[in-house]
Amino acid sequence: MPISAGGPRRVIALVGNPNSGKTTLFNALTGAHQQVGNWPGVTVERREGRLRLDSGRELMLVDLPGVYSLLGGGGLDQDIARQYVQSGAADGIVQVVDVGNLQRHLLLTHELLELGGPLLLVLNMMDEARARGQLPDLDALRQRLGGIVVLPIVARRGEGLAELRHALEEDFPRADAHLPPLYPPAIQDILSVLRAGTGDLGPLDRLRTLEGLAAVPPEHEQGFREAREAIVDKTGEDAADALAAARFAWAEETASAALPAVSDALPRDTWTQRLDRWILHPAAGLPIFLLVLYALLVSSFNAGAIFQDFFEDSSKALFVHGLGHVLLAAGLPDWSVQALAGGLGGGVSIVLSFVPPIAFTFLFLAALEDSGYLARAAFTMDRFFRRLGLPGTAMVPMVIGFGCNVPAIMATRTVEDPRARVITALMQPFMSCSARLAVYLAFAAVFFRGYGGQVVFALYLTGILAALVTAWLLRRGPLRGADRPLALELPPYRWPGLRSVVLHAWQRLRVFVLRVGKVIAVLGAVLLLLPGIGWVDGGLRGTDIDHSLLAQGSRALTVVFAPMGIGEEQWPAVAGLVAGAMVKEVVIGVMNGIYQRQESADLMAAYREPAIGAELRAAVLTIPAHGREFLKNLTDPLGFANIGDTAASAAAAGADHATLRGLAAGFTDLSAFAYLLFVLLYLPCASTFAALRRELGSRWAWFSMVYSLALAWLLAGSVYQLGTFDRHPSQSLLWLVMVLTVVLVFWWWWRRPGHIAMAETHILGRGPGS
Amino acid sequence: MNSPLFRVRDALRTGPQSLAELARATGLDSDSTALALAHWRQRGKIRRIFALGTAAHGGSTCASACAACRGCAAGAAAPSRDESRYLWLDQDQT
Repeated sequence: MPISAGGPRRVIALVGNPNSGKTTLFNALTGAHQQVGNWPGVTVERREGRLRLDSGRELMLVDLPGVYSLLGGGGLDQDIARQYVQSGAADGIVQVVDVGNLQRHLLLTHELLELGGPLLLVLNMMDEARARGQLPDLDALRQRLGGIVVLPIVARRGEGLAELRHALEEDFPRADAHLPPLYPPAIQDILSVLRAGTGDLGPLDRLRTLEGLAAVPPEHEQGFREAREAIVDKTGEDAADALAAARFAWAEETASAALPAVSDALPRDTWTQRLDRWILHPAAGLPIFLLVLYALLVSSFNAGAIFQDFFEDSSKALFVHGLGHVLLAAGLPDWSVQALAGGLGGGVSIVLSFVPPIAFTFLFLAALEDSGYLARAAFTMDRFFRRLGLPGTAMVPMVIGFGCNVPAIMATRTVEDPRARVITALMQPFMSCSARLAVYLAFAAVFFRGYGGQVVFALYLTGILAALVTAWLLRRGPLRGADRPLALELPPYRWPGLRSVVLHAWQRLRVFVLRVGKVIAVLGAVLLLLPGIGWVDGGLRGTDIDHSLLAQGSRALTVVFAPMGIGEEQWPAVAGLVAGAMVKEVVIGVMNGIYQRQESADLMAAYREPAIGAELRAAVLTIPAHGREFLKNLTDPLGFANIGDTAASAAAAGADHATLRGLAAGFTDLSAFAYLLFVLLYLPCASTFAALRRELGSRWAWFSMVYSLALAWLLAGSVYQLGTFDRHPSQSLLWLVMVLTVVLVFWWWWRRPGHIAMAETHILGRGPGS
Repeated sequence: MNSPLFRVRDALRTGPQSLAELARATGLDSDSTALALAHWRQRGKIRRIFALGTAAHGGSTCASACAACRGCAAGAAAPSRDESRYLWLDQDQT
């Protein structure tokens, strides 16, 4: 029955195989009116969007995860899609079909017809079928599908979308009585009897149970046993094989009825085949992959850097200095101005400063995904990553992590297996991001002259090693389980559609800004408040940094860092670590402020007499200046070129002379290296924590925090204790015995079976038995 | 029932074959062949083996080595180093 314009909003589910163009169609129909979230209790992305039709009616489109089948072998994505289509939550289902692979896609159509609900078939990529001379006979196909609506489209170019929107105006029909039988008569009769006795089960759940893909409910044991025996009796095959064979036969017959006969001489996608000869080549594939990743790094971080200072400086002018001025004028006390402007406003500024590199990363990734290359990159890397129990798709986030861990964690969505996705995300905080490079550069300028490059390289390698060890541990602990073989479809190469790429990137960016940003802003208010206020005269008041909560806390904390050679006099370095938990970029900045003893005064002066106009003009001018640097930095996307040159290192790190002198006075080469190891491994920054929390849930985010903190403390302490063993052998020995004991206890605890159940239930979103 | 699923099974029962060989033997496109293989893998009826070519059979089974040689002898393209073949395990079933 048609729904009136004022009636309740209809819900339409989009279903289809991976790479059928389902998401492209979703983007084309809904544009920017989308919401991205997670399906309840799991980390699989849920996308829904509003579609306003020409009549003014509004539809809600739900983009279900891409699946080849709704019955078995497809993991979490499949469970979600099956539960949704069976729940009756959708008023109709639109299946998106790649017409170039009609027979394969019809296997899913068979399952959807089994549901018996309203179904509309969209034949996508008709342009490619036209080019191959393989246009289907739409009337023949409609007839074979019981008269349901079948529409040809090219989602990338928007062809056929007007007809689709028109079809969506009304409730579309179910398959009628003329639908040819989905199973041979003998099987159909058995299924009818079973259906009558198991009416409480969904049609797909009934098939799954009959095929041995789901447990038989105790009350139906006899019914299913009899049905299985009857199928073996009639067909001579197991029920699972006979039913699947019937679906394959139906798909083949239906495709043959709709498609013209294929000439053997007809070349199929020679453009794709020619490219694949190089891209999938066992030897050439790897360097090509590295080249593409290099381009990704350059594009994301060098191009992002052109706009990063503009975003940071202009938002600081408006949300920190401007807001501070307004609040001061309103008569608020200094410390609350510091909290609101410096903290919340500063948090907003930090979030916005991440926008350019993240936007470029997502744009580039979306283009790679749309072009068909990303699937091939995963295939190329799979043989290396398989040894870690990870699919080849895990490589891409790891490389992005060298620039920034936040987009890297969000890029783990390209990893389909939920266990592998959790592992890949938990590896990211160990990839040495560009913010940590700033700290390395400052220390290299003071302590490692002449061999700074080797030290920084060793730190990068240590980070990679820590990530690999983490993956190994997780595979032997709570995320144990059979490796899923990489089953990838390699779609033909296509030019990425601009609209689709921009929308895809925008969706991910919006998630970062709105959800991750909220956490950063709140943590920013807390952490950036600490250097400006202290416990003075029995109350919390604005004070200089020496008497601030940060200084008091950092002095108290130095005892924890004693095993790595850090004494109370180096409390500014500890304060840097505390603030660095918020964002690693500020480690050197906080040390600058402390060593100069003037940060607090400078901040309040900026609030009292802000030069917002001048700051905004200066922010705009950073764009052409960084644009000129872009070409110069093409060969050095990570900024290694500054290592070895003391002045350039210090300048690149943003460290001033007071900081360099302070570091030189307080550290030795060894304690400096131990400190850098700690910086590399300790807590993920607030943005990374927020991204982990969003992608994996709170438990894994807290696990990452505790695990990385413990790893950093034990490893940095051990390096220092081993290096100074001859000076205090008994103390060093005690430390090393303690580390060994902690490792052994951890290993015992880690391997307990209870953790596996916990991971299954809380992280992967299902019980161990399902 | 003349189902593509059973055609793949029948072809595999004649000896280990790669995806491309199976697609040729059954007249299916490679995507449908891959899905048929996925069904038989899920049912535990086939095993994936690696044909490394006649010069490097260290890790492969005799069956895969023979299949690799036969493929070359029949004038087909030599199997690439990473090409997987599929071996039907349930030989007794008729």
